[in-house]
Amino acid sequence: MGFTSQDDLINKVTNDGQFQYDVRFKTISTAQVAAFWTNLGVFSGSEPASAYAGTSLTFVPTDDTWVDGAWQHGGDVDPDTKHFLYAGANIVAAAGAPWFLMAVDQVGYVPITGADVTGTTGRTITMTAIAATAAKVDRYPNGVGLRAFFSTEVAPTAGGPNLTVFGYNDPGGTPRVAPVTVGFAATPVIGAVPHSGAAATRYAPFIPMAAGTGSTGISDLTNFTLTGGTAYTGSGQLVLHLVKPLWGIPLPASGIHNVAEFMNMLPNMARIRDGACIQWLLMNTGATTASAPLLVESAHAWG
Amino acid sequence: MAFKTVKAWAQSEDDGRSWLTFFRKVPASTATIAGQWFDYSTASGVPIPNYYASSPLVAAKLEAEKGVYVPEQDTKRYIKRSILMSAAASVTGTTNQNQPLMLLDYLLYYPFIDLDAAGEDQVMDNAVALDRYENGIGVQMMVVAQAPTVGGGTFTVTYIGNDDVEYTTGTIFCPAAQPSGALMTSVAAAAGISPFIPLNPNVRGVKRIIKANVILANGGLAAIVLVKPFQMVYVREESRRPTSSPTESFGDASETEQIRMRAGTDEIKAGAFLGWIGKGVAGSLASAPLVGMLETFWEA
Repeated sequence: MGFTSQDDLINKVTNDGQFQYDVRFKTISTAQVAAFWTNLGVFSGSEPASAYAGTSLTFVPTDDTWVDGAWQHGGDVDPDTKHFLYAGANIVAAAGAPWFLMAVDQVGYVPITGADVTGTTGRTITMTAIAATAAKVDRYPNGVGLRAFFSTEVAPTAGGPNLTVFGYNDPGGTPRVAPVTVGFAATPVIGAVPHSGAAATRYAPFIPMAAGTGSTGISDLTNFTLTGGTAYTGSGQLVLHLVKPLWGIPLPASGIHNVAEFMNMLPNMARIRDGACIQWLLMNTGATTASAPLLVESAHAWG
Repeated sequence: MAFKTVKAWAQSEDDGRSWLTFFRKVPASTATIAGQWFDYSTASGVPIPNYYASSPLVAAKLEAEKGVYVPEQDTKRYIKRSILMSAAASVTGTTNQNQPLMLLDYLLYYPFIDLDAAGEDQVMDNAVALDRYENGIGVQMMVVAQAPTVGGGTFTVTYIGNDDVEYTTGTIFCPAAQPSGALMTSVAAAAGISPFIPLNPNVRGVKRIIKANVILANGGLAAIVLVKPFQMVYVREESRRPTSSPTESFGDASETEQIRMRAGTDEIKAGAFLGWIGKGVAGSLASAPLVGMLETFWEA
């Protein structure tokens, strides 16, 4: 479905009540590091801080019923489709600006704990491939458009290994590997995307993907190897996320509320799929100070 | 399949034919000159710094994955949107404000031209030729300092234009002393007012460089880089928040959405090495992080 015209949209919003306005909050309770991206799912706010529970190396699907808490954006609307109309956001922090905020739909995640963080041999991920069924985990059929990134749930000690192998299957089921070696930071703070930052060989927010159809999506996370560099020690926990990027807006200064209007953008009106588990990624140009509040407002409609 | 409609353009997003690239480049702490352009590809950060390090005077190419990274595809790639912000070097820094920036495809470079070798023809080895924009149309030359310079020099460049005719530029003046990474024809002084070497009349671009000839010694080393400019954007205000009164926040994001805000878009050709140059209109760009996102689409 979708909207057939702006008149149709206005009718759906004003007469049919197919509209929802939301305000979401997160408090970046731990100071972040300059040049790093941050997964805000680890922080409390409108949804509680996630612990990313599960068995190490086993994929955990997430949707709007996720027990860690998910934004309730109006429930299933199929055969209608739900779309963002606009979004705005601001952060108040003594340092860290400018920022870039990205909304993503998290299809699932892979907890990585213990020796799977510190080990330097290949690790195999247990996951049922994303298919093209009506199941919520398949809301992006065959994984089209999905991207992957790692984040830090519990900071590992020291280290700074290289992601020498990142294996996945593309939407056609063909095995692929990331085309480059990706460096991981030493002791990334909670929330940090360890392959971001200013050092060489960092790629962020998403792990680079193979050329051609290899970069159109991820149907299956298969394996990775953290080796070379310096292995992590300690008892850290990493998380490998599988997400669909929805939209992003720049936040140029502390306290500046920046609004993006999606009606006239091309392409416009990012779609919120039934079951979407919307999460936030934040790029910190400087070192964002602790206890910085993030406010995100948005409106969406369906038709 | 080529993009012919808005629907086809938007379909790229649904089909996963899109990529979002983040970059963050921080020029070194050595001050650059007001009015001077700076090659952010040489700065530290993400992507890794580019030093134009290869055999002197021998044409060479840069590796695509070491520039602003966009996955290679079998079909044509295009710029969808760019976002740029410039953080101040300190909470009181303002010299990176009002900064014009230009996105370039770095095609070919000739490194380590000796800017002290006055009166000597420095002949280039063209074993490697352009493999993008092969007809030279739209291809410009920029001169990037590879070592700190003394300044005050002059030089000429002899090149083959898009019409396969050999030309020698007029005298190019170098500005005052400047650090590595600075463009050397950029200060609005006696000569250069452009980031690029002015071409001869009726020449639409450059195919290759034959030689450089330093007239007045300038000190330092430089690379001449053949580039294809894509777009210019403008970051008006630096991002910063003073820690003492007044503590109001400053900042600006420059956002360019190609189809709606520009009359079309630019193709990123296979093998393209993407990078930005910026002009420190208000003063030095030293230690001021440039951050941004580049969103790209590609055809089915």
